Amino acid sequence: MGLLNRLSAWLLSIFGKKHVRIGIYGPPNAGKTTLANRIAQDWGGGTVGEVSEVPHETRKVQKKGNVVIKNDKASLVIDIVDTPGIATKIDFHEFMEYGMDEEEAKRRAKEATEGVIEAIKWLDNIDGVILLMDSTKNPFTQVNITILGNLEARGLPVIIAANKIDLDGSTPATLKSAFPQHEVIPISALTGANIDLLYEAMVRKFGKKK
Amino acid sequence: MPHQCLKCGEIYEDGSKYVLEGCPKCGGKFFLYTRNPLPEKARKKLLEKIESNELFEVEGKKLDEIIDEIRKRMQEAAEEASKQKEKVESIEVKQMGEYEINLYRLLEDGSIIVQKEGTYFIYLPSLFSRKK
Repeated sequence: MGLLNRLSAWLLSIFGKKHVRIGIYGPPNAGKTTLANRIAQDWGGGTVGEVSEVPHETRKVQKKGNVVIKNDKASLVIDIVDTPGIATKIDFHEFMEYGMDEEEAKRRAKEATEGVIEAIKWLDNIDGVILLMDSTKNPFTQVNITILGNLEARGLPVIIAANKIDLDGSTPATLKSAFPQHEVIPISALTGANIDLLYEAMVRKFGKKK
Repeated sequence: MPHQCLKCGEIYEDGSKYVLEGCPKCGGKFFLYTRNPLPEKARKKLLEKIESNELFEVEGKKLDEIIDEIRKRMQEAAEEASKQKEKVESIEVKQMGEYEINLYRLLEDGSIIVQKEGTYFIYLPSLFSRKK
């Protein structure tokens, strides 16, 4: 893939190191694992994690390490870090609606809470963030605003990916207007629509860091 | 664990390509990752919930009005978010299995202070190791 070769050369020349760690963050059910799997498949083969409609399916940070991009001259290793969904409220009743018994639902709620803490801790080890939002949902949430504010304060390069543009009711334009100071790329991680635009944005944005 | 199509109830084994492509039987896009398949009634309820996403809708039709509405919503959400700054706890336990997470605290200094019914539990290593 020509684009990947260019990406590889770019990142190498800018970062000056062969290991770039990119974290996928966002609220639960935004499609983080689907995107991580898509990136892993496009770049290296294999998958990162299981995808599910039940919120907080990913409750531990999952890393697809050593995804190797090669061209004639050099190779670049990328770690894709898929993180648990970041939420402000976690209630076991929600899981019971998915057919779990109370005990299992409570255990899942506890793990999901631990997942939020783990995801945030991982920010210290990340070179760039893809903040994934669901473009069919209201973007004006505490989660989105608080994460963005903190990423700005940390000076971490961030790209907002407005996911699920394949669904009815998707309004990526709202996300663009809501966060005008950030690059917003409308994508569908599921169908792969616009995913090349995201890769190009990653080259531009994460390339600026150093 | 297998995936169940929420629309028709068909079961697909772990890692099936149909989860990405959609159900070949009914075209359904939503799958439940579960050990225990759900009966039709429960599936229907879940599908309705998933499909009735809270959408962003604006009353105004002119561009200016839409932009104003977006600004207003952003402002409200930012004010709501900044209320978290006043709290000392990063996690509140409402009851077992029900948690309220103060993202501002966790992101800002990584402190893990748990509050339950007015009692505070302070995880000291989280304070000593925090970065500024």
